[in-house]
Amino acid sequence: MIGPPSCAPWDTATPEAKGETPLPTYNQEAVVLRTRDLGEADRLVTLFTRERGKVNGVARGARRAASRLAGSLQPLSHIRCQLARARTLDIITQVELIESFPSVRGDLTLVTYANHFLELVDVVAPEREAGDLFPLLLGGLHLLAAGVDPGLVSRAFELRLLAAAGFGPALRDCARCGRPVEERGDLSFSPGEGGVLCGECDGGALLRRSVLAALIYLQEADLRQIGRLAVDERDRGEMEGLLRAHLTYHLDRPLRSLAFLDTLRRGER
Amino acid sequence: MIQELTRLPGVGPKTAQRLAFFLLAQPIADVQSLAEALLRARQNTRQCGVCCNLTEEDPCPLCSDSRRDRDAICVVERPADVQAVERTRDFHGRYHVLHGVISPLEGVGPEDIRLAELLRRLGEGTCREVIVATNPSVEGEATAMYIARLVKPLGIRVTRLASGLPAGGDLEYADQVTLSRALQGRREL
Repeated sequence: MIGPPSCAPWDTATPEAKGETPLPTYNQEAVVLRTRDLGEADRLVTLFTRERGKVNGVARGARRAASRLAGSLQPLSHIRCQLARARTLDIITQVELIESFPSVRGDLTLVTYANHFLELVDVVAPEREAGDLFPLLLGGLHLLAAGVDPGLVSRAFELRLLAAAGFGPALRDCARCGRPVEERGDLSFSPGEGGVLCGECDGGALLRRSVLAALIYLQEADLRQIGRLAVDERDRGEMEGLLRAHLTYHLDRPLRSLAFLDTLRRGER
Repeated sequence: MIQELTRLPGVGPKTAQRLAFFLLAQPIADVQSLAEALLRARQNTRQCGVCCNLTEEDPCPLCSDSRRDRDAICVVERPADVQAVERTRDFHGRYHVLHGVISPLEGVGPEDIRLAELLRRLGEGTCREVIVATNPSVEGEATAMYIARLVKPLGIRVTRLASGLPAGGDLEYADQVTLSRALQGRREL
């Protein structure tokens, strides 16, 4: 048979035409969690998909300047993509950008909060398994983009993510004795016990009632309404501190984006 | 030898084997000069005390060249980026190599890259513009914004490389992000 060699650039024949079986493909809606360089010009992309949880895919040639994949496969991008099932890692063949969150990317503080969300999802999301985290992540990113107080969005996101992962702090009933904490003396909070402790089961760090009320609101209210919550600086600081302790205790790893947020705040002072 | 060669980026066991057999077939003098070049480069290369670029002399030739402007510093991620900008022959200022970008997810903070060195240079007062030429990636942009936060209060102009369509490219095949950036950054004709 006469024809160009199969590696030639003008070889546009489909795999079927060449008698090869095409790789089975599937489409996914996803948010890009992180990327890593792979080989000479490829990129390994960790996607958080709506239907299959975390999926790793290879974007071939994504580090070349002319790559059509590179722009849309940046962390934070909300995309629709086609993957081809391969032996080890699936290959990302097409990408369509749904939302790139330019207002979040263009603000160092907001992009750090967004990174915090991606980092948490990356830690708790199971591979190849759907969950209810996808709408939460998208919702959180859209709230950041809409200019809602990033601190409140972050706390609500953390509470809900912890709950989805099975580590949600008990807020209405005492984490030790199980009785409702309403009107039961001085409350405290203990990550190790799993939430609020009533006055009789004292043990953790002191928790003020206004902080508890704010936490309950952030955990239970409609995500779109959380910007309405009025919290003073002191309560805000305490919420952040105890949720951070709870996250670090249950996820058992340092949270890098939060550490960077601290660096940014030190710079502002 | 094959094992040592496999440690190079982009070299798999087969390529390593090919390279090894090639080297074995070469005259001993050629192999010796290659080995010496590798060793010499590694031993004599260090970071320039001014711009942090890799160099054999300190300060590096670019920093000690008196013909180069002192009022602009182009900040890049890696030494290879200096070569890339130099190839354009459009920039006549000086450079600063960060040796990395801020990446909270990878645990790389501002203190892990050569930012303190940049601020010290700016403190000398000859620089009037900092051109941030980090990659147009999430980390590169975050680093650029962080640098702007630090440098602007010093009264120094901070600019960022434009991003848009590649020269000789095809509009139809441009990706959405690049094309929308190109639209935002359009200029008057």
